[in-house]
Amino acid sequence: MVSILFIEDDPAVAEAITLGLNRLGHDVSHRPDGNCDFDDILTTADLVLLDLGLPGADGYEICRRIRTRSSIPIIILTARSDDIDTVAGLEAGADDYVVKPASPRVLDARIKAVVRRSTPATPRAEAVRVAETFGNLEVDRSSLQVRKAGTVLALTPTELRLILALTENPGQVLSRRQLLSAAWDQEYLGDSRLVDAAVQRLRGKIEDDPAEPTVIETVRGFGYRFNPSSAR
Amino acid sequence: MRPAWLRIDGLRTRLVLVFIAIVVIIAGGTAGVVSLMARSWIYFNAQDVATAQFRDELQSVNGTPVDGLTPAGLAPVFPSDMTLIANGEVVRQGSVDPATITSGFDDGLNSTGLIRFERLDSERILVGMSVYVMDVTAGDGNDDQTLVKAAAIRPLVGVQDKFDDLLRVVGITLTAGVLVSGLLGLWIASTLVRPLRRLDEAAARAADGELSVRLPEDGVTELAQVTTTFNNMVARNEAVIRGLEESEEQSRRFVADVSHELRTPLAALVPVSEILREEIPNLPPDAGAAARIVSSEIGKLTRLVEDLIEMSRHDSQQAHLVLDDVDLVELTERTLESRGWTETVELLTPESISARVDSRRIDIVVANLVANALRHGAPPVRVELSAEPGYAVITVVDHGPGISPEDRQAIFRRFYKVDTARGRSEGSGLGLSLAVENVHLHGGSIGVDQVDGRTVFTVRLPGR
Repeated sequence: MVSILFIEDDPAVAEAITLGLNRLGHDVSHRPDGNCDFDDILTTADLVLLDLGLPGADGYEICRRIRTRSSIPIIILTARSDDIDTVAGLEAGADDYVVKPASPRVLDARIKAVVRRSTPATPRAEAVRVAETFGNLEVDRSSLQVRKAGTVLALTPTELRLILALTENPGQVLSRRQLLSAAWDQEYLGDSRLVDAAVQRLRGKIEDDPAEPTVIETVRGFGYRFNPSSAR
Repeated sequence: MRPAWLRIDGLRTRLVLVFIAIVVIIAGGTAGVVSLMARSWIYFNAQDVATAQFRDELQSVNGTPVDGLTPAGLAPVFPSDMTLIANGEVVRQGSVDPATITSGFDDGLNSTGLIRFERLDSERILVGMSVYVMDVTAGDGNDDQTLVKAAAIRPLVGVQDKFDDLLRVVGITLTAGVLVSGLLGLWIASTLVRPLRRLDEAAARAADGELSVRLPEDGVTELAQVTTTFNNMVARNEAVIRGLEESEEQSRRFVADVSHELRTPLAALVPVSEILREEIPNLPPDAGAAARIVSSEIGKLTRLVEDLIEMSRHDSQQAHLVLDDVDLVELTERTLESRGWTETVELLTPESISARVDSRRIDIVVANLVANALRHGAPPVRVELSAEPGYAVITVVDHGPGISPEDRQAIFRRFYKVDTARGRSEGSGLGLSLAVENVHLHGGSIGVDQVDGRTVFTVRLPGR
C-alpha cells in the first residue's frame, strides 16, 4: 500500500482515479488545488500524484514548492503530453510522468517503481561495505545516503538511484537507456529525457559549478559517466 | 543547349538579325542604285574628256595644206595614233584596224564637224571624225579639198580608280551601318530581354512557393503592363493561399483543441471502464455485456484521441525527435513483446542493428504496420530487419489478398478505407498516416509493394 497525495482539479477525474487506485490497495487523499500547507500532508504521504494543468498555481509551481521542503517522490499526471510541458515538469523536480488518460494499472506500476527507489535495494555485497569515497563525495549504499563534504544531500529517490547507478561503475559510460532501466525500472520504451532532467538536477546538488559539470560528464551521443577523480 | 543569345529563336538574336537585314536592304539598295547612276556619270564624263580632246586635236587640222595624201604627207598634221582614210583608201593604220570599223560608224564620218564614238570596254573608246585637208601636191592650183576620216582608240582616263573609290566608300558605309544597327538591335533587345528575364525569375520563384515575390512596374510600357498583371496574379495567389493556410491552420487547431478537450473526460472514463471490465463476472449478463461494450469502446476512443493528438502535433510541426542510439533488433523485439505478438508475428533479423532513432516513434511505426498486416492481411506476418549502406531497412510482410495499385498510395491517407463496405475496424484509421509522419520525421521513406502474392511494407531509415 502506498499513501498517495493526489492533486487534481477535475472532480470526475479525481474521483475515477481515486476509485481505481483504492481498488488496487492504495490510500489516496485528494486535494483539488495546491493552495494548502503541504507540511502536514507530506509527513504522512509516500508519494505525490500531481496534475499539471491546475487553475491558479500550476503544477510546475507546486512541484518546485514541494521540492524546497521534501524529496518525496512526485509523479506528474498531464493532459498535455506536449514535449515542452513534460520536460518542464521533469525539470521542476518530478520523478516520472504519466499522460492522461491513464489506466489505474499503468499508474500503479509507475507508482510502485518510483516508491521502490526510495527503499534499499536487495542487499548486495557492496551494501555491507562501508561508504565509498570519491573526493569529497561519500556514497553510503547501506543507509542510502550521499554526503558532500560531510553534509548529507537531500536527494529524491530518482536522484539517489541515478547516482548509485553511476557510482557503481565509476569511469564507465552508461547510456541513457541503461540508466533508465537502472534508476527508473522503466520498460524499454521509456522517455530518455527523464534521464537528462534528473542528471541536471543531480548536478545542481553535487557539482561545484553545475554549469561546468566535472563529476557527471556528458558523453555526447552515448550517455553519462561518473568521473571519480574530479570529485574533490 | 546553346546560350540564349546564340539561339536563332532567341529574341536578342532575332532583333539583331532584323536590324541588320533592314540596314542591308535599304542602305544596300540605295547604294546599288546610286552606284549604277554614278557609274554611267563617270563614263559620260570620261567619254566627254576623250572626245573633246580628239575634237580639239582635229579642229586645228581642218583646212590645213598637206604634202600629198600619203602617210608621209599626213604625218606632220595628224597625231600618230590615228588611223586615216581618204577617198575610201586607208592611208595609214593607227590604233584602229580599219577592218573592225563598222559601216554605220564609217557612214557617220561622211560629213565633217561631227564626232562619233563607240565604247569598246570599260577602259577604251573608239573615236572618229572627218576633216578636210588641202592637197598641195594635186597641182591643179585649185587647192583641192579632200575629206580625211580619222579614227583612234583612246583610253577612258581614271574610270577604274573612280569605280574603286566608289565601291570602297559604299563598302565602308554599309559595314558601319551593319555594326551600328547590330548594336542598336542589341540595345533594344536588352531593354526587352532584361525585364523579361526578371519576370521569368520572379515567376519561377512564385512557382517555387515564394508568395511575397513582386516586381517594380517600370520600363517599356507593354512590359510594365505584363509586370502589373503578374504582380496582380501573385498577389491574388498569395491572398488565396494565405487564406487557405489560415483556414487549414484553424481546422488543425480545432482538431487539436477538440482532442485535448476529449482527454479530460477520457481521463475519468478510462479508470472507470477498467473497474467495470474487472467487475464483468460479478454483473448480471446484460449489464456485463453493456460493461464490456463500454470498456472496449472507451479503449477505441482513447486510441483515436491519442492518434488525433499525435497527428495534430505532426501537422503543427510540434513533433520533435528524441534521438537515442538503440539496437533496432531489440527495439522491434520489445514492440512485438509488449503487444503480445511474439507468437503470431515472425521476426527475421541479423544479430543487431545499431541506429540513432526516436525509439518511441519507431515503436509506433512498427506497431502500426504490424497491426495493419494482422488486421487486413493474412498470416504469416513477418517483420524483417536489414542493414544497407547508409540505411536501416524494416519490412513488414503479410500473405493477404493484397492491395490494388490504386489503393497503394491512398492507403497512407488519413481514415482511408480500402473496402468502403466494411464498417469500423479496430484501428483509429490513422495508424499508417502516423507511421508515414514518423518515418518522414526521421528523414526516411515508406512504401508498399506487391511481391509474389505478398504485401510488403518497406521502411528505410537513413544515417545508421
